[in-house]
Amino acid sequence: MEIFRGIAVFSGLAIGRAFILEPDDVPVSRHRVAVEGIDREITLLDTCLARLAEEIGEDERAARDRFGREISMIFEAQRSMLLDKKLRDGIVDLVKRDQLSAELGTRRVLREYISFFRGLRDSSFADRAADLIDLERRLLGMLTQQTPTDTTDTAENTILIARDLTPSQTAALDRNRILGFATASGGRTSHTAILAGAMEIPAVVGLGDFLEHVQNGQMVILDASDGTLIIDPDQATIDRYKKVEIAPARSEIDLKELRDLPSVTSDGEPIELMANIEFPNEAAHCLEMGANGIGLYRTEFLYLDSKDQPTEEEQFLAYKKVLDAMGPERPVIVRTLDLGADKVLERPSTIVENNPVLGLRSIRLSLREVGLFKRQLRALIRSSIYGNLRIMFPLVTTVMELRRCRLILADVMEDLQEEGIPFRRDIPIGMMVEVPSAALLADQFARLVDFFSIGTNDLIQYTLAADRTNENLATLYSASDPAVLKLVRTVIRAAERHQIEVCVCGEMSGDPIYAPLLIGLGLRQMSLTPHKIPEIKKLIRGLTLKEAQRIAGRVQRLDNARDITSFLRDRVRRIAPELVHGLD
Amino acid sequence: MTDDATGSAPTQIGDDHYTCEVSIVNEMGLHARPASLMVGIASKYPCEIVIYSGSNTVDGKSILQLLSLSAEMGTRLKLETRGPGAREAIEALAELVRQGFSETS
Repeated sequence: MEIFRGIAVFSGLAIGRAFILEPDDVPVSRHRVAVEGIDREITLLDTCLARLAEEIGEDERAARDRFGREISMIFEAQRSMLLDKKLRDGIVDLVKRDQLSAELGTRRVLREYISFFRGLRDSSFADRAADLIDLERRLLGMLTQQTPTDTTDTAENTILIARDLTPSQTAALDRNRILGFATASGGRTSHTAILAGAMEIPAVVGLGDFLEHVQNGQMVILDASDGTLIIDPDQATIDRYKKVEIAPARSEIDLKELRDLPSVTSDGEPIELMANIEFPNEAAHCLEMGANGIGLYRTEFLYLDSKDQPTEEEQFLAYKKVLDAMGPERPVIVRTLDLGADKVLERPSTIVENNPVLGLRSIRLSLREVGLFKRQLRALIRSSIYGNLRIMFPLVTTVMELRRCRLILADVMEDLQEEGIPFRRDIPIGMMVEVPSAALLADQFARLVDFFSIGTNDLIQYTLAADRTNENLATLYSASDPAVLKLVRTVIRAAERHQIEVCVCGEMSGDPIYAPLLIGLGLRQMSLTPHKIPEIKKLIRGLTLKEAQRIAGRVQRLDNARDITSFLRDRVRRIAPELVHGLD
Repeated sequence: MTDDATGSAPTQIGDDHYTCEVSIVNEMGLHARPASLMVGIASKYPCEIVIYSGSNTVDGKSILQLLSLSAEMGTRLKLETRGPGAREAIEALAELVRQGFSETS
């Protein structure tokens, strides 16, 4: 029994007999042509190019009917590669100048492109080599009138084994007989991998040197949920896998089924999934999606909706509505006003700001407009008796700001007490960590609050000095940046040391590729857009804590966002391939 | 979306001779599918179409050469068209790139 590991491109389990598809290096028999044969050679080339273009056009139509337009584009792109004038010109050149046969010219030119693409640093561009190999194989087959090997006469319950499969070979696989395939080369962005996903056929690629270890007809187990191929398994292993053998993975996530399942890793570590909301009536939707609470209730709408500033009563009713909907247990974290001066103040603003993002906004404004701040806090504290309320301050930059917030909060509580208005004294108080200064001083801040919430959108923007909406900086603004991740790690560690809760809100927590990393870094609470909860939950349920920690460990050794993103995509694709989107 | 964020408007630099700068804005970069769309449009025009990326210069009608740029998101490309239909060609190509090749995912 031998076990090999590769990249799972579509998950599922297949147990069957190996069928080795020999690489069909179509032999080139004629090398040179006589001068008078040159024209005939070029005519032959043109005929074959036209015929093959026609065939690929048919593949494209077939793929469009079976899998839709996105997938059929693979063949359309192949067709335009075939019809690329540079390709024909290159071959014709060799025929004319060096008197090479059309077949040898074809091989030379295509091999040159293939080795060029293989050498590209970005693996997703390098994967294009497979498309060219496909063209070479088919074009040479036509020029030399040989039929490339196909898979049509395989037995039932076959697991196809090959060095590589081209897109056209993959599309031609008979799903009734072929249960899955395993290849030595190939990457996650190859068209073959994408086709495997569309065909829902369990597949593991990039297994490396395993071909000499497997023989035709041998029993193999392809466990594409974790990217393993087991050759010649012993009876105990077969029995173990037969027990878990399940129907092919579904491509749709069953929301309803997931809602009532606990959000725990497959080895039992609970991960709290909470929802980000903006309007009180979203609370019901969050429960439907299976949220454990509200991790971020943005209160800005109260200020933006009405012409005047909202009264204490209006605010109180909004907060109470959310707390009522979520029940007595589930936490509701309300963030105090997070807006700029221009949006809030009734009087014409006298403040001219050159750089509003770095200006008087958010908690800075609340601390300056204390009347406004106190009104919001009064409404919040009054609502505390209706549920598990928590209050959070945004954009805290210095310890002094936080101390002032707490003093004002204590003031408001004192007033309410004097007025005999009931409220909970033990409301947990937290802060957003979204300014690098707060992340760097997380240890100091952790002594002053009951919880942290890492606001990744602003943290990325302030750490990398990059506006996320600026398209020219699209590659700069990234949650994968190692500097951002280092700050996130610092905050999580500080929270652990001081035994306070820490959560990540912001778009990072709704992106499946970051969930294993964040959990591996020690995070146990995430707050995200409600509709993302089911898929993140599904991912967590297929993840072990150990795996998450290994992922976090590996990421620590990478020094740039691009490598980190592609590493994370790769890992998450192995766990839940349907969550990692993006065709090329 | 301003011109500034995604590149410049086409400028005429001679008779039937235009140039313009664009940025790749779609997540997957100038991959097989976008490149195939680009070649499809470029091939409709009789003019010569040249694309510059850094120190590389390629033929805008060759998908193999376009792919060889491995232009990912954020890459700036300079387009140059010359000959009959140069203006229409550069406008159509710049629009295609700016729209992210209408890639939704």
